[in-house]
Amino acid sequence: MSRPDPMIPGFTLDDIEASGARIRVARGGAGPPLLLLHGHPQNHATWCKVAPQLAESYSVIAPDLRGYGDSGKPPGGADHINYSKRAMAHDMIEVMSNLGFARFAVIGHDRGGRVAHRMALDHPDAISQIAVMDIVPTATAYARTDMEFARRYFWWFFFIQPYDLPERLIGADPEYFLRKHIEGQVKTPGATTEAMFQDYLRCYKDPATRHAICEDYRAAATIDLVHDAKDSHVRIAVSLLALWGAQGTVGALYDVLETWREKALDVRGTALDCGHSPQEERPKEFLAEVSAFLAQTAAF
Amino acid sequence: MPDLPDLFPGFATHRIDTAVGQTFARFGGSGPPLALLHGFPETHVMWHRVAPELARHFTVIAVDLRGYGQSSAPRGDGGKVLYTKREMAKDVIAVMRALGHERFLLAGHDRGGRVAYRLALDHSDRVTKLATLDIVPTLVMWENINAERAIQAYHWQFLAQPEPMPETLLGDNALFWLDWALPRWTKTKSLDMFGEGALAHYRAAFDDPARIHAMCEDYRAGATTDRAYDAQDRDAGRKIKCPVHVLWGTSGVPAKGGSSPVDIWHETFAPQATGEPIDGGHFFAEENPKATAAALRTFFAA
Repeated sequence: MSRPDPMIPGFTLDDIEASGARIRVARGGAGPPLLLLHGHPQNHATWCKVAPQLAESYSVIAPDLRGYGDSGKPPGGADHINYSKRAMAHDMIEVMSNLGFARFAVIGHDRGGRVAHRMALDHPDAISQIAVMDIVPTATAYARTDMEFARRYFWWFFFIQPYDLPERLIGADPEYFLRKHIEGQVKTPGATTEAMFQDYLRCYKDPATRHAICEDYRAAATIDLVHDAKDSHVRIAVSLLALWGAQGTVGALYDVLETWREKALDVRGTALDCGHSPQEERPKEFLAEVSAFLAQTAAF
Repeated sequence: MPDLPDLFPGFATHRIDTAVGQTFARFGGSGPPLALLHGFPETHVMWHRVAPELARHFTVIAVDLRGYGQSSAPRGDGGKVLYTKREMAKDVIAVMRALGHERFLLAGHDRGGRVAYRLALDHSDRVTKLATLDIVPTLVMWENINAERAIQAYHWQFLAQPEPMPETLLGDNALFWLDWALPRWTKTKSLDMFGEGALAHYRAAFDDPARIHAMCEDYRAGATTDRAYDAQDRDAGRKIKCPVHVLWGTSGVPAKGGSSPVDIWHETFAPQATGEPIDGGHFFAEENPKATAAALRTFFAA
């Protein structure tokens, strides 16, 4: 069933049935398991510049999150529960279990970072190390919302408006919206190659993807905050690496490491000279930081 | 727009030359001059249910703001100058002067309220009394943003995004968006409340790319230059000199602000302000015209 991934050289694609959604999974390499979770508005192709190198040392698993890419897109459900980070994390636990991995390292960018954060809270025994790319915790971002954040990250407040206002408006011109969104966030011109963009666009053109995206954000503003509040006393015990773009909003508005030290016991990290997508904009530096982190904090 | 119903029977129609084109106004009644400035996403028509009562006591001039209704909607400059409340206020002064009124009573709702308080700050010699409807100063709106308010008033961030993001997204969806937003900002969540005649006016004006652009420019100016002007005036301790009456809807955004809208005006530009809530949502001049007209008449006639 496996077939070559057109986006990541040397990787293969499979569809794995998780209990809540069918998940598209790209895989490559051999070694300890490493799960890569993309963000919005990307899919697993966001890892195409770094996954082949990581695959030299790790069994790399790069899924499309539920709702994104070529994964299933269930309806949002009551209270957006089907796009809670809890549900999205559960998919990934099932995928990894299906592939024979009970414990693994996870790297999450953007929305995928939020899924990784929730996974580390809900399934602490499954996670050996966690890295988050260019995010602060969801609850922190909402608690500290001010004019600057509301203007720079306007879609956090726009996507969560009731169905189907944002769906209709983005649907007016998905390609324009996608291109402007990436242009605004990725500060290294050309870092998102045309091939990558076209693959993101292929998925973004599907109304079901755009609805799922809005549900992901609606969940973040509601049910995810409820889940986070219940865990506000918990500190993630495994090592956490935070990388962020020195040119982006996250680096400009927050002491990123401090925000994660409120959530985890062993936090390290640094800014890279880029915008929101280190894995696309600074793949070499991303690989250096991630490889060092994974090697130094590996549990033997 | 010849096919639209006349909601101001007995009122004259004026198109007055202003700095960037023409400003549209309806004119009727007798007594001291009273300028009425509408807000987003409406036109001067929002006053149609209070105008007959007000016209018994005042000479009523209901203006379409720059970029709105039947007034000119020039291409903007990214919110720098053209759609600042300072410039939009100059249109109002030009209209009032053309109609023979150097000094006047002034009431403004929503964006029109922002034009009105800016006019009163910049031209204290022209305004004899000011009523604001359902606003606190632009600077305070931005300074007080938190997650809840950023969700409630998401359109502040959205419409202020650089051109052509909001223009593109609203473009083909203009009427969908208008019919979505209007009821949600009323107390009873009713679109029918506005009446078919008024809705015909609002829809005709809103379904126009030039006006969508102008409204975005109004919000871009609000997020940048208007906010800076407010900060300059607050830092300088500048105050509105005339009597100020603050009205707000019991279920509108200012009512949910935590502190009383009157207190916010006291602390910023109007230590003398009085005020009262009107039962209704953001559009209380249409939702509850009787109470609105009574409050305005009482304040302006005193």
